[in-house]
Amino acid sequence: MRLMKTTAIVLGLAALAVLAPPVAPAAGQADQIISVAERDFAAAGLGRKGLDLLMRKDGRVYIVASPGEIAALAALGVGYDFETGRFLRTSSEGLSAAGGINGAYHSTMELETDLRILERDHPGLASVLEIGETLEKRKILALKISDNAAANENEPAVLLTGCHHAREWISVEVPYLFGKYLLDNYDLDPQVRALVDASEIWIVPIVNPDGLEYSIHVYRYWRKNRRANADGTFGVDINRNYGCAWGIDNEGSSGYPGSDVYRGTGPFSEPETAAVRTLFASVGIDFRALISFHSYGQYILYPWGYTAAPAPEDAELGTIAAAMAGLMAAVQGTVYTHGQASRTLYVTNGDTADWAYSLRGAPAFTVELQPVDIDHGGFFNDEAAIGAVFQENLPAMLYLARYALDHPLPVRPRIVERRDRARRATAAKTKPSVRPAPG
Amino acid sequence: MKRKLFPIALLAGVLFARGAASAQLVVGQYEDEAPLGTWNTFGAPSAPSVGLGGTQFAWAWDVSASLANPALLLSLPRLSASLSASYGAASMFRYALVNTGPVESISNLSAGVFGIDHGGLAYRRGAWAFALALAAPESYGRPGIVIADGGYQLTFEQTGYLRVLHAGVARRLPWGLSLGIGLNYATGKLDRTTVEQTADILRVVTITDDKHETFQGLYANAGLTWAATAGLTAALVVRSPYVKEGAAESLLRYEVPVEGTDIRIDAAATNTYRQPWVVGTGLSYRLAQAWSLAAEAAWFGWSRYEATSFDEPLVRTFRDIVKAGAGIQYLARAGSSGQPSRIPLRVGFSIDPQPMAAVHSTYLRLTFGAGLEFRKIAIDLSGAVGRESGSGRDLRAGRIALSCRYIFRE
Repeated sequence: MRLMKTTAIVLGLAALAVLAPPVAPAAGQADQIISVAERDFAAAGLGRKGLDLLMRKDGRVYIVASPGEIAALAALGVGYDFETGRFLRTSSEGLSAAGGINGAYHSTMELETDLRILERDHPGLASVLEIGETLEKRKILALKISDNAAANENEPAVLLTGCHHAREWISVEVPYLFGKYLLDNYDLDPQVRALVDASEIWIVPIVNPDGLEYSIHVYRYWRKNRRANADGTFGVDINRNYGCAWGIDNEGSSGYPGSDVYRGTGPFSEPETAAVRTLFASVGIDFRALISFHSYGQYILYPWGYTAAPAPEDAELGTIAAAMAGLMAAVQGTVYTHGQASRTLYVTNGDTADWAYSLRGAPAFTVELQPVDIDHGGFFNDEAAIGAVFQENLPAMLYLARYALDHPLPVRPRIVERRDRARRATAAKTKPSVRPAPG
Repeated sequence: MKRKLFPIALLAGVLFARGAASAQLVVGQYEDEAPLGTWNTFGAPSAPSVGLGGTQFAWAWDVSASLANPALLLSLPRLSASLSASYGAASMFRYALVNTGPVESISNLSAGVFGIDHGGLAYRRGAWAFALALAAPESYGRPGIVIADGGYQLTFEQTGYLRVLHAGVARRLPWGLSLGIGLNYATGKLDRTTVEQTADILRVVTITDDKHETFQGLYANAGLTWAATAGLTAALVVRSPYVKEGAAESLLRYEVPVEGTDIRIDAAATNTYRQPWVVGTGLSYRLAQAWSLAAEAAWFGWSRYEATSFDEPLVRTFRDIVKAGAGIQYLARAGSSGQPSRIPLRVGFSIDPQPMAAVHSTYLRLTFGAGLEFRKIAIDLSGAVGRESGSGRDLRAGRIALSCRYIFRE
């Protein structure tokens, strides 16, 4: 939580300041609690700046600051620490995930327990729904958060998913903690309350429970689901199994069942992707945005992943991604590289973001969480870092949810499956490396 | 009693002709806690039982019978000791890493285990008989794996065993009945380590997944034997359900020393394995002076099997099964009339369904054996070769057992 004075932060904040107006009002940016040394506070004359002072303690002044105010402090050269995480009600008290073979990370059973706790503790605001069942008969659960969660009010909705890839344990925690944050702070934070009252936040923390359990109990680096393939190998990469550009080439996915990026026998052949399709394609829910959390690499990626050609709303997607990256960097200085997926990381086909965007025109993002590379953990994150990773993603998630609230989707669904079918017919089989690569 | 694991079974190469079978496929058989060869273990049959279709409920050769049916102690010599060892091997699908994705093999892999099966004493006095034995009925060994490809290396090792300290007592009752009860204290351990390492000129990344558990449990077994005629014996046996329970530790670690990265998740918990009821019945019948046969069946209540690992229930969709076996023995005699040697020759078979509900996998075993009994010493050598049906994966299992018995007093 130390002050970051890097060029990246300054640029990020500057970019945010420039870009924010056209894409989102100030309401899309979360205030942060920061602390400043009393000596610096006095030297910079901050007492006369009209800042929202929270308290003074142990030689520091605690301030509720907007991103603009934080940027101003940075410009003045005033040192500050982010303290929001110390005040948010996102403690692990009472959580089932504490302990166990996977430490503070959720297993499938622990997650269901904790989702049910949220539902019980927040009647009316939280509803847990079973959106599918896996090959090994595990439930795929969704948490719906809204002011009247049991009812379908056709409010603007956003979908956050985690754990398409089994080994990316941190991707379960970030969307889960976001749901917990919204519920815990509904009565405390008017901005949270306004967001929840006006929208539906759908969270599927574990899309791939079978794979996650295998990763926990058998092989930590397991990525796919647990499909028993015809050739004796196991698993389909369910983030290559969606119906947009499915199997269009063998670079963005593989037709070899033993591959870590095996796309399956057909689009939506897997119960996990079918469950997400059923939810996101539902005509009764006005989904306007999606984030699919993964790890690692610190990226914010947007369509297209299957081609280097830009998406129709490439500029807008890029603007949103830049805003999210700026907000994330402002928390603790973590730099998330943003850009079109195929140009920024690698080519993928049949992935979640491409499909969600192609289906509804919804801004859809793949967020690759910390760490930045294998030297710093790869698919491993220290248990103690879960909270920090969530905190740095929190303003971006709030921002996108508010963006969705303010931006109805254009009525122009994109149909690319028909075109892709012809192209993938010519695809040849390849067997890519099974070495771990960013999610 | 220590068992030694051989990475690839030497014996299996002799017993099992292996072709280029496709990778093992069907989910369910070899979970980590599955005994090597079969889930259905009961007692610790010595070589003569192995040769006679695995039968042990209605006839006894040594003290090992008490682990299945303590009532049979009354049919043993007044004081005897026995020791039995075996080499067992099995090919397998779905265990740990192999053929579940990270590691593929072009054919089935086999693991072989050599170990002492039991050692013990049996004593009979009047209408009572007693037994004390130490047995090792289960091994959890798996084929070791070492894969190296450039800077990438993966190693996997799993070992484990179950030992049982058994005390049995039997009482002769009226009407040809005998009743026996045994108490069994089971202890064991299961160790499993996976290390994956990627090295290049800049760094070495090491991922370690280390799990260790020890367990213990207490259970009873009992048997009721009825000598219907001079040649016909019927038996009813039961083994109580029990829980193998003990401390488990886990370490999951990610290291990149050059960057100072060392991420650890340590865990400790109590793991449990709730073993099912076993109820069996058997008979032995002397057809003629030299010919006899035995047959039996045992019901294993696997549908109530439960396992927890680090406080979470493991998915084990099992069904109840009935295991059956039968064999026939011919007792040849050799040597002088004053001190003749007896040479038992045995053949048999067993049908051994596995408990997985999704795939009805069954081992069919042919058994054979021969022995030599001279004065107070007897040795016996038996074998069993089994082939599995149901999975379509051409699995095999086999065992060679050697037992010796010494009679202190007839």
